[in-house]
Amino acid sequence: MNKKQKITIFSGLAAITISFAIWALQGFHLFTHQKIEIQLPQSDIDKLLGQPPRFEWINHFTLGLEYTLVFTAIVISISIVMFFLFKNKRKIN
Amino acid sequence: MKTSIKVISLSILFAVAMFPQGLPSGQAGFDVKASGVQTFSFKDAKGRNQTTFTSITALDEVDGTSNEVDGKISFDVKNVAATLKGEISIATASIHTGITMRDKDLRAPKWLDAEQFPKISFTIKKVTGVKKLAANKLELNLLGIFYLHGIKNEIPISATLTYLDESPVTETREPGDLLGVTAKFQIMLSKFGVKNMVLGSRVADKIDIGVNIVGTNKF
Repeated sequence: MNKKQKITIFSGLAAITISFAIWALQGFHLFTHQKIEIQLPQSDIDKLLGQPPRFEWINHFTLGLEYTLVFTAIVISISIVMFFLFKNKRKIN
Repeated sequence: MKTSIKVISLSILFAVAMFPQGLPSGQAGFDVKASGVQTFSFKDAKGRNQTTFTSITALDEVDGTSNEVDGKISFDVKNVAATLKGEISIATASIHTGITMRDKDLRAPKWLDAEQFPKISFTIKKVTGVKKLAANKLELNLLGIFYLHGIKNEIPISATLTYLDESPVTETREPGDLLGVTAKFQIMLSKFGVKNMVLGSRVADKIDIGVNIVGTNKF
């Protein structure tokens, strides 16, 4: 394995590790969310009417496992191609 | 003396046996300024009325909301149990789950088919039990018809009604007397003709539904 091949493997592994770390930090979701639910502050009148706090959807990208796996598959494919491209070519005398 | 105690004890036992879920239907109402039959509309232009639903499976938890609530209920203020009637509905296409693709799927024919069945509704049929929690607060057990995906099923619902007479405080939300309704119940999607291969795995058959709405009698 030459230097370029080593860089390819380590870069690929780093990209995959980072993507899984982001997925884990964002809550181990199975599917990617485009919006998240936030709880709105409860007004006094709503409290008097026995209403629980309401929820509202706001735009917020949350990475899911399915996108993480697709990204991983793409990184592995590119790394394999680059690994063979960077293979030392034998000189024919 | 002993006879009196026996009579009192028997009376208490009789009362408990007769009304295990609170007051008998037809006797409970609100002790508020308003009187007579009042009709409340739950259509809120500001979209503050909300229904929620939750599906929990081993694979995923799906939380959804709808803020397009419509419908009216009416009752005699002093005799809610015997006079309560009405219907509450939501627009099928208004359900949001936080995932755009999933929202589209929910509206598609393979799930709730919003185009063919644009409304999900509950029509009150009968009040089966009333408990007075406060002068302006009643806890009710309702039996009604839940309509989803073109199919009607009778389901029980436990609801709490809170009545507020019109005042400067209620006007901060909207004019008129206000009625707050909260309810929680469950439905089985399979009983409403929703047959999808991921039902039971990615989406639960049993869906928990919450209703948190406020209506006004000035609409």
